[in-house]
Amino acid sequence: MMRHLFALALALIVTQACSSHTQADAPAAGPVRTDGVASKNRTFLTKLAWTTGPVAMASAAARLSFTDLNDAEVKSVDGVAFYPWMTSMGHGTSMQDQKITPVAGALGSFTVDGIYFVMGGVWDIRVTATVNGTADTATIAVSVP
Amino acid sequence: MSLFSRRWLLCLWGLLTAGQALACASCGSGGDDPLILYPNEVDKIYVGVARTTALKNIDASGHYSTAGGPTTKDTLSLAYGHAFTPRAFMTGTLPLLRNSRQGASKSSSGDPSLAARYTAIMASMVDPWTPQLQLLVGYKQSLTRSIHDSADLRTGLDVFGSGFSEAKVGVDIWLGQNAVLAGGAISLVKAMARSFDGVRYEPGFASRATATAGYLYSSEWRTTFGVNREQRATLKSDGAAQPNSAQLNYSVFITQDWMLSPLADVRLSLARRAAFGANQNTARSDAVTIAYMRSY
Repeated sequence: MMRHLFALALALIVTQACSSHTQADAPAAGPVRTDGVASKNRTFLTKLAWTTGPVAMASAAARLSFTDLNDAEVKSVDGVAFYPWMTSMGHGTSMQDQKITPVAGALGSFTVDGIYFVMGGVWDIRVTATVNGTADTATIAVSVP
Repeated sequence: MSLFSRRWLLCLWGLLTAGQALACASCGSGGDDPLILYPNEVDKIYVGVARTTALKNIDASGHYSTAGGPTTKDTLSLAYGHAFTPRAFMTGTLPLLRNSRQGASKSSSGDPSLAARYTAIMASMVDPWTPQLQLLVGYKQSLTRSIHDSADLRTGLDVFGSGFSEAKVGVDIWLGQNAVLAGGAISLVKAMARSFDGVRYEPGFASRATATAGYLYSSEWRTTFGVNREQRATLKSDGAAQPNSAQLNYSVFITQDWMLSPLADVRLSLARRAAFGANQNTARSDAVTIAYMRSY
């Protein structure tokens, strides 16, 4: 009986030893701020600055801004959508608490509150907006610890 | 070869396919067929309880991140097997699952599965170095909620399956008539494409390879140790390959078997997924399983 228990214990120790050197923790957080990311059809640039998080299983917040490709102010921005998508696994996340609000006095800037990542990992945030009358989508990658 | 020896030998076959589906910790998983029938058995039942903890996600770069979803997954597996001939048998398995996180939990039945095995080469009682060779097929029907159709994505407590039905074919080879035991198995798994919210998902082909070694202390006690390598090709969404979505998982397990009688076994298993190597887009977890099997 004792040798069986010993064998079990030894195996646990070996696997623990192996595993502690094979994977690293994710980077401490995603980028605090992204440089401008061009939309798919090059309609606009969008920038993302995290004010809370990003973090998994808790609420995060960010400031989102839109400019033209020359980083100049745009005339109008409507229909903003902020949709986190985990491309590697093919799923999204809970959107029930998310709220997008225009920033007063700053055309093309929005706050996005209640961003909820259902798990850690690399997420693609699909930002869709109608800028100067043209709808387009930009994808911003973020690493969530 | 004694009755006990044959039982041990065939018990090990079950280990050779004791894998789990890949995917992240919150994304559900499907067990494999846990029940193996010996040539002299006609009907057999399996009852196993498992607890999975220490869940962490591993991304495409091999970095750990928060698993999300439940922190503890409990599984009660019920299986029944029937042999049609000494060489061929079929099993059916139904898991009952409970996901828990921070005092909250949800329960559901899991995805049921059917499996069949045919012994192409029987172990020789004359030559102990003649390996046994089994061909296997299996099918798992997706019935439970997955992360793709979860109604509670905030907690993921209602995610009990991968969302995709799977079919598999494989082969097991086992050298088990000596005190030192060894074997290997490989299976190919095809997950069926399916649409969620208007998006057509097509998981890539998966392969699962297992190497097992063990030692037979007596007719009542046996310890085995094994490693699994599970790999899945890139996921396609609406026909487009999704970058960095290929999955890889190296897991280890150790199992202690105790034959209570010629008709009944008790098995304790410890397993760690993503235990070593360059894992990607998968989950790290620890699981302990205790199972009771009885033939009639």
